[in-house]
Amino acid sequence: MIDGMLGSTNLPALERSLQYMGARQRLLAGNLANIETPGYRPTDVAPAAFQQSLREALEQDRTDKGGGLAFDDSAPVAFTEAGTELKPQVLAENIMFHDGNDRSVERLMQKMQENVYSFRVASQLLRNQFDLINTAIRERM
Amino acid sequence: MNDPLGIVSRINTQASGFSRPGQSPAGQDFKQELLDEMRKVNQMQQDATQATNDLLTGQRDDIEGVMIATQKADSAFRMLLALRNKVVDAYDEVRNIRV
Amino acid sequence: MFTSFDISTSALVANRTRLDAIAANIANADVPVDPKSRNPPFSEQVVYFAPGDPVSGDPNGVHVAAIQPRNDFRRAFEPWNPLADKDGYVRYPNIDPVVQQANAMLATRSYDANLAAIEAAKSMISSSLSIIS
Repeated sequence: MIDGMLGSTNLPALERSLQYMGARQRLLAGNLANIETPGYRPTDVAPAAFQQSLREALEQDRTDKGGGLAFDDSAPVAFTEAGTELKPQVLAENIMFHDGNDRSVERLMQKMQENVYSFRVASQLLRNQFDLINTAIRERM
Repeated sequence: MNDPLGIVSRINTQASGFSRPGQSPAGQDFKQELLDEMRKVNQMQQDATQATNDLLTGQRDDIEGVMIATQKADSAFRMLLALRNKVVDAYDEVRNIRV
Repeated sequence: MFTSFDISTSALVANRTRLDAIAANIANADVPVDPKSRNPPFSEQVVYFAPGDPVSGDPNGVHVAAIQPRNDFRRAFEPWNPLADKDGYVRYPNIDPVVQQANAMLATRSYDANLAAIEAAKSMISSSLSIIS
């Protein structure tokens, strides 16, 4: 009964998204901390990779009702019981500087802002979902 | 007037065809009406869930559209809940009438 | 979800690259050309912008298409200079500091404008968050 109540809505997808954004924030913070470190290569898990994994997991969950959001080990994003695990990928998108670092403050800050706002959107939607469930339970506004 | 579910306007159009007891009712009966609205609210909830999933999986990127769908479903649900509470209240009141 | 962030950030990167080139131009304005040097002589670096992003194929935004030397030099009569040719002339890159300053202001203002665009996009997202109570 409880599983049905909490699993049939989009709570699992929102929860996974928040886990991903939290883990990604740590990666991005590490990149920012090492912005002046010679030879440092920034790491990231692109949102597109997460979205792809989530899409596949939701599809699997829809077709096979006990699937949960757990699957596939080779993808950069893995959903486990404990949480969402990221396998960070080394980026090489800019011209490298002489010290072997691959810095771009603007892109890094942009990613951080995107992450923050994605987090805010997902947590707001999550709160709304919980409000709805609680209203239904209370039978009053 | 705000009438997200179209309930009020439909009741107004039916009011002219109100029937006395014994005659056959002109419109649908209340139970059917309520079930239809419940089905509609459920559909809105599913649409909002789908919109959220599409946003999270990157298949759409208009945050405001998702927010509006979510809020619509939320308001519709609260409207239905209020209606249901009124009906239950009315039932209790009728039950308490001493004959 | 964040296309406008991408666009504005591409402009930030492009304008920072432009400012880097301008800084190099100002710094090297008074460096004489050494005819015996193995390195090519410094000449005014001009940054060319182009729309889109060739790496990701995204048609939005802006990128630096090329940074090319203008290869324009002025001659100064300095017979005492060890780098002077047999007629006593030394070549300098023909860089006008006034033009460079104006370009630097343009690049800075452009950077600011794009930052403002990012802030606007952020406030729009925040506003759409308050749609759901």
